[in-house]
Amino acid sequence: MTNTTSVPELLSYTLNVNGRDHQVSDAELGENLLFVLRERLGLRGSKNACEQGECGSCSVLVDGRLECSCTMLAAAATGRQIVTVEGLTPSGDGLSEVQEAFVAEGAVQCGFCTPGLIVSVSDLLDRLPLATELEIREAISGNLCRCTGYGRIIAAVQAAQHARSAREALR
Amino acid sequence: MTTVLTTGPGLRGGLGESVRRPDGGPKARGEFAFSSDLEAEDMLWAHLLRSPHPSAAISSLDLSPAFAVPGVAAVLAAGDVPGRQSFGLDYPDQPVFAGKVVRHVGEPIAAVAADHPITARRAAEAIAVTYEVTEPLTDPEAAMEAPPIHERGNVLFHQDIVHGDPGATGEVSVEGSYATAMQDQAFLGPESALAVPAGDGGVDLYLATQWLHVDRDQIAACLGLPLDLVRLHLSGVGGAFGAREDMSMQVQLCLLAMRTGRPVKIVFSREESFLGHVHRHPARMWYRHSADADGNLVKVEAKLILDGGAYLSSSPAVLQNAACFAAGPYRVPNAVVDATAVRTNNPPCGAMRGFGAVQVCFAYETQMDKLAAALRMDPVELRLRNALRTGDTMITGQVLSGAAPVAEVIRAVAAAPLPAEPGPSDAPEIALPGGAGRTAERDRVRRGIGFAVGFKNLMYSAGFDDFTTARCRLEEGRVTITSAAVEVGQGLVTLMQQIARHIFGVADVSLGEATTAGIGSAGSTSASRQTWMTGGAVEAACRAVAERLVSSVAQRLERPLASLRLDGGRVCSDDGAVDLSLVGAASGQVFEETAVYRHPPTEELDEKGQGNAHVSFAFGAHRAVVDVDLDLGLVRVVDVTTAQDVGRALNPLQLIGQIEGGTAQGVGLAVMEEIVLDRGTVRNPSFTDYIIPTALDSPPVTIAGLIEEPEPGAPHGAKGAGEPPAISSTAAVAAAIRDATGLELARVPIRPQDIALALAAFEEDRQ
Amino acid sequence: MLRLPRFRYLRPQSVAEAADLMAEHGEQAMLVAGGTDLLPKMKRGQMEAEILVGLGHLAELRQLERSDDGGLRIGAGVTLSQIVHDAALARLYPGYVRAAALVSSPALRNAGTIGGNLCVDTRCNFYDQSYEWRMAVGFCMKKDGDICRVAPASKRCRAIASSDTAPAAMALGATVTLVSSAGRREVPVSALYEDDGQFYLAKAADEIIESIQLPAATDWSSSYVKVRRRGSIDFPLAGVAVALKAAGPVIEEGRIVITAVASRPLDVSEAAEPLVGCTLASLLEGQRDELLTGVAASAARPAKPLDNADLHYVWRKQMTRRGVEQAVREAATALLARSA
Repeated sequence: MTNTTSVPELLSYTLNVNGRDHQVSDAELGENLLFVLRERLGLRGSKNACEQGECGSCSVLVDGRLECSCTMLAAAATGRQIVTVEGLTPSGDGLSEVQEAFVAEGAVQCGFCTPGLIVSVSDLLDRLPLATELEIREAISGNLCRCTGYGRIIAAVQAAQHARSAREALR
Repeated sequence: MTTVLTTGPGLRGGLGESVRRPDGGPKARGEFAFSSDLEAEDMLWAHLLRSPHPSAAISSLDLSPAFAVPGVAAVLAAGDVPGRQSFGLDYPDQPVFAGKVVRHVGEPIAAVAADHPITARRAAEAIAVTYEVTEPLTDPEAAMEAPPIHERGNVLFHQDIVHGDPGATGEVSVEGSYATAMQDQAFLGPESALAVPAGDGGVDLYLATQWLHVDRDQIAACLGLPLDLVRLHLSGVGGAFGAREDMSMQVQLCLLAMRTGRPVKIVFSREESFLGHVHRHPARMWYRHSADADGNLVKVEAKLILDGGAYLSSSPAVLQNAACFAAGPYRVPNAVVDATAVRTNNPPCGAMRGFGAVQVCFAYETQMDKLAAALRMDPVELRLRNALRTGDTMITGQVLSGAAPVAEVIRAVAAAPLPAEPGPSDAPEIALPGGAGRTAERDRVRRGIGFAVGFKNLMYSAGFDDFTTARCRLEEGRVTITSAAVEVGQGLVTLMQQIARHIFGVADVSLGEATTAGIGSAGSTSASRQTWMTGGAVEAACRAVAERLVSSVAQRLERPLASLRLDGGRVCSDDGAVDLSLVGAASGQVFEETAVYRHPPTEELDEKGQGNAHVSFAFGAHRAVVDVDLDLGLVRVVDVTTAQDVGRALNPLQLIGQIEGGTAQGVGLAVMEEIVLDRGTVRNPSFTDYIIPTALDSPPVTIAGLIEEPEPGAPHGAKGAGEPPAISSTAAVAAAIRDATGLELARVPIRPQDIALALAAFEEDRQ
Repeated sequence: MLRLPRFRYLRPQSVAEAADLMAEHGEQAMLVAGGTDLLPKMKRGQMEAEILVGLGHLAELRQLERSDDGGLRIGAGVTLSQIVHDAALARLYPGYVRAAALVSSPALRNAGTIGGNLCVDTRCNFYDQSYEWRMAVGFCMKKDGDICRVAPASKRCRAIASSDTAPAAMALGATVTLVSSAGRREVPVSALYEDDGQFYLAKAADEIIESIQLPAATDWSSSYVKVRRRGSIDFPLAGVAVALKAAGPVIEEGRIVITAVASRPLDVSEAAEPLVGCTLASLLEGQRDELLTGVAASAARPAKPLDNADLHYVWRKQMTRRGVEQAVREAATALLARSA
């Protein structure tokens, strides 16, 4: 049993978020990754809409995979590469291809689901750049949006696909 | 007067263009601060203890176990409210904290502030409450006669409409009883706010709401503070749809901040959100339509009962809408409507997109289809025959003076080609009812098509003093627009900039903070009113500044005022001798004007429900195409095509967003959305069990027509556009399912069992 | 903000160590891999554990290897998404892969593991609620109470089996390897479940699912049909897994497992017996519709849905019948295509 790490109730640990190590100190073990990202690391791009994995607003990439940060213990995410919406955002005030498409195509209304969707769609286009409309709908089917009815979101994903293929054609 | 839309040469971003929203970038980057993202130094976290029972007497309340939890800074309950003990939009009948009685599940009983959200929750759970549980009153019809559950009685509001000859009869009549369920707004951003105590004895509250000033007024009354000591500041709003019109925790949070002298933040969980805000009123509706043999409507009779839940909220306005629009957008010479909103121990109901109009549209459009069948008439033809036109008299006796392109929206939708989408025989499996679950047997899937038309008033009605305030400031060529109007996601911020650009011809328009501190009310972001109202106020404020600017140039250069004009961002004279930039024209001066905009006055309805209660109306029509699996009862909404009366499309992209989003909410009510109640308790307070459409359930929305018939009196001729998409979409989907199944389906949402079990029973009967 | 109760989190370095920890801590401890079921339930007070033993980080649980008999051994820590995106797996075990693809949403499939999905908690309207909700309505025997709220006369809990992959694995004749401090044993997936919504897992609390073994699928095809209201996220309202064997044009064997209509997945393979000897073509060309209807009716007979889930229980029973027909047709179609 010597190798087992026992994680005490108040704990300190390191999280790698957006390529940078962050020290988390005196955290409660019951804090999920979403809470730690938002309240301890000040990364509030990931949103808290349901806190039970039902809506996708807190989507992040963990070791390159899309996951809900609300159903993951922060302390269990040590040693993994976490990417949040902030990590997909260019520095300065520019926008990524996906972000630009969301704004230009009217996919952003209240915007609460937007960061989760940006993560989700960026992940989709990396895996499946030529996703069909049904594949897009399937890929974002865990990201609830209440404002748009998804019409402009689909349009934005398709616009991002076009921008991407145009960029690659130029290369 | 209708203004022709022009913007200076070469300037982008004016009216009529699909301008990008200014908050789009920050929102996409995840940097936009929603109310749940706020923080302050030394901040505490609040939690509300809520009643788990729909009806109970509180026989004892012991807060001391909560005080004993380490990290707890304050615990408050009834008795700690210094001012008025209750609040409410229409009348303050809703206690800040339940004292001796609880009337609905989720009613706040106590509030805790602690150093960590987990601690606050633990402490709230430690509070000892003894409830004497009583039988909840949950049936709205029984409630009318039952002993009152509130000192103001169980009838919240009643409205009769008697129009024309109540004894008139037609050759054909159809009758039916209908019901709509309780729908939730289900915005994504949970209720949240940050209250900061101020050195002057007041409080600053940063929050997501729909109407800053009316919250402020209610909070100040409950805190016993003068209005200027309660300052509300708008924070990012994660959707609203009516649910943020009532207060949910504002007073309790301010009390905690003032008691502790520290900033206090609250964020609801999703379950708390379901329990903590008002919902769409469930309705029970009886109708009889009578027509002559040619299909001309002779009379509409309706009895409407809306369940308002435990407190009044905006029930009177919802009920009045249901009554006023009970006959639909049709010429109806005779009408008798008996409408009542009642109090029960169900969760309180209030505003939700299209309120009152959504429920009756489902009923009257079902009746119109029944009537068409009885008359052996095409349902579109029947609707066209009776469609309201400008100059017609409505059942409230009001003559329709504005634009009323009812026939146009019907025709646009009816003429649109059916979707190219393949039918059940060759659609991909994921595109069949049941989707990737692969439940569909193709030859048991039937396609159905349904139509519906609806309408609703724009802005506040029935004598309400409805106004908006906006300020324009011109300084060194920069325009700043300030208003307390709330951006909830619809894109008002874009529109305010577009209006200012349109007038000044400059690209650089900033927006000031939306706050109660230093500017008057902008009214509520509801009732599809801000494009017209705040649009009007911004326009007026900008014009006032523009006039002062031009007259200052006239004075300075000693030229006649009439020879100068502001055009394309420059002050010019007709002869070309004057041509100044805004900076040059202002010559170091700062111009600031505040304008208050009011729409023309309305009047209350009389005891027969007659009167000019409304300013303007917007109309819309939907055609839905559905595939229904006859055995399973699963429905896939294949396509929704719509046309809407918009007056003027000021920002087409945002308009499409409103239409698509509102339609999706209507589709949700038609096929899945329902707060399931079990003796006053919500059975499904989560996104697992209260289901809203995902991307795989929302149909593509085809816009067959944006009918641009400028509305007289409306700034730029534009009508509000948020609500019509949510009105007739539900009815159209229901009609399409009826078309596919042949069933009556008199209640929404239509559940799979309503189709499958009814068809199975029908089959059995036949055998 | 939802809170998690206080607990300790242990990170063993191996499955053996995890098993020792489970033995040491007994009832106080629970296993967690993807966390998509456990963490929301801990937040709502439905599950309590003083100690969580984490498995998600263990690489040894994420192996996927061909076994000697031509079958496949998949580590319990393999995620549902990995299964979904494995094209070879989809050819061999289409029903199982389909079932994995229909669990919840893409993000949760990325986190959720196949071992976790086999153990996914049973569901009930009176149980899948917050602590406050359950207290108000009255606790049920599954958590904090002593009666069943949906069937008060019932001696056992009537919560509903809700795993999609369990019936699919059962139809394939899959087994699981269970590891505990006492050793290792291999049991059929069907032996994992009890007919009891509360104590729904037949394994000992300290046994860890190490892997699932799918037997060779030569001459077999499989299917899974899931009834739910939305295109995503929802748990099954009814689920049917079917596996059929046919080396040539004639069905040699059939298995049917139904789920979400009882507290455990029900193996109703006896109902499939009339299919044996049928030609695939006759089944698919509508010549044997009566036979298929009969198979579906007898397969659905043991389904006893109650009023504790979304939608009407009579409807859910009917859906099972239709699901059986659909799933049989789908598996037969695949076999026919293969033989052609």
